[in-house]
Amino acid sequence: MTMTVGPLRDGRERLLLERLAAGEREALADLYDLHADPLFGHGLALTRNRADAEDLVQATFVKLAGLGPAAREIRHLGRYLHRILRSTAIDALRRRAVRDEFVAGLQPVYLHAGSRSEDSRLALDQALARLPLQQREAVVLHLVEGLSFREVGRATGVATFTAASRYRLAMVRLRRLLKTP
Amino acid sequence: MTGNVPLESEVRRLRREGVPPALRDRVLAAAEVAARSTAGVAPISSRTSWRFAAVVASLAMAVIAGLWYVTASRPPAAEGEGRVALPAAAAGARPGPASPQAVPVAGARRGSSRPVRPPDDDTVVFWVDDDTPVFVNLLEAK
Repeated sequence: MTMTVGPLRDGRERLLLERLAAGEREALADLYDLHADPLFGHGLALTRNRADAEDLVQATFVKLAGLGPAAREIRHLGRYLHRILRSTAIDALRRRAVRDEFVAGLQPVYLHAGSRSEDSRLALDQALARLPLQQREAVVLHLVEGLSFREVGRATGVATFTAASRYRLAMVRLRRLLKTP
Repeated sequence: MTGNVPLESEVRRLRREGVPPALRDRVLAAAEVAARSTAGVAPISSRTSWRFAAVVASLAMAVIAGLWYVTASRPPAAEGEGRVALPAAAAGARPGPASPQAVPVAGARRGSSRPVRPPDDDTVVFWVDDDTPVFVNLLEAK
């Protein structure tokens, strides 16, 4: 799954945003179909909790729907939506107690379709949960959601170099946690 | 971890569950409610500021109208009135050459570098015009 925005998709999104700005509610459903999946993955990476990730996706699209005619001003919809979701998540995490995050961190979020054992899937999942939020976000967006470093940087509001640096640090830490070469 | 498979590949093979199908309807319903509640209604802050501006404008117009009425209904000012505000004790005094309490000061001019000083604390300076100051003793004024 990629967030690659080519000319065709860009043009289609532009039309959908125009329709949304004009008050056509059906346009929001089409925009949801285009972006909900990577947004949900981003929400999972941030919160490690399915219910929270669903709430984040909902809050993001509610904000988009509430823009009205201002929706025409959006230049890069994917980037815009990821940033809305991220800022909403950060706000929620700041309000939440540390113990809640610990409990959420124990939840297995990812399914390891090609894993050789349940143990290795759990080990990888829990190692991911132990990464700092920004590093976990970079790993999941890049490897699981398929975003380029440039797209990860734009979605998280940092430079491409910073996104790549976070990813590299995360992989070093993951290797140390999993004791793999 | 899993033999010789690189860690990147292991992570890349992680697949989360897709978006729950029920979430789509939930999101669209919530967005519909949110959009409907804000459609055609100005933001609260905007409405509040408009009301505030209207109240301020009404008050300003009322004050201006009141001042205009007071100014227009006031009788014409007498000669020399308003130049010096005399205390109530001196209100009955009519300074000038005919008044026994008024003492003309020769050679003085209003606003000059040489101030005209009254002889004591009970006496004030009253300017008949720019060249004619007189001293008025407040205790003797009737």
